[in-house]
Amino acid sequence: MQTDALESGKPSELPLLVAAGMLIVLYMVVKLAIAAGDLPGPVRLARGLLPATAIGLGILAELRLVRRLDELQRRIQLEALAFGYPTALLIFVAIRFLQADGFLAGWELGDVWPFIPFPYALGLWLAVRRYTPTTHANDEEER
Amino acid sequence: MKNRLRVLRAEREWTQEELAARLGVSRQTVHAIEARKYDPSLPLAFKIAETFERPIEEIFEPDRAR
Repeated sequence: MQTDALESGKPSELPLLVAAGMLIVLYMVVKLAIAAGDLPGPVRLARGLLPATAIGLGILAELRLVRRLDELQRRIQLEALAFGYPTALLIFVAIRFLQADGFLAGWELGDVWPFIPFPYALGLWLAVRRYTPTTHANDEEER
Repeated sequence: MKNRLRVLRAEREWTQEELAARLGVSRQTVHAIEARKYDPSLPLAFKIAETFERPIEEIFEPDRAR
């Protein structure tokens, strides 16, 4: 049964949140480094790919997390992703069309990318809230 | 779906944490099933029945009003 996955300890979302934080920090660092000046080709290549390492770590952290979850926790993750992914797309499409219509002229779409984990975090909060019984519900059950 | 998980657990004086460990799920899952916020999968429902040594239909009852 899939529930054996929990035997190795309580799964934590911390590595995923750390990867999300790393993505934001690395993105800012790389932006500043690019503005600071020109460098040799291989260094520029490494600099450009640096934020991708955080995304890679995020993917590994999510996969590792999901494999260790039980069935309810997997449903919660699915609902978080089902909310987070389309919401991120919605934000991109909305910004893109607003820009095409002359709004948000100073915005760069690339600057929005590092904040993509936020819709997922919001989706996770909503899903956890949905499946976490309230005190009132518990009282009713015990009657 | 209605269930008697809380009653059966109380009879054995198990905490949600203890039952969760026996079932190999999180305490959050036991809590959600007891409060009818979540209906378990068939394999988990059978594991619950096996743990309490009761037929599955004695533990779970369809919510016909839904």
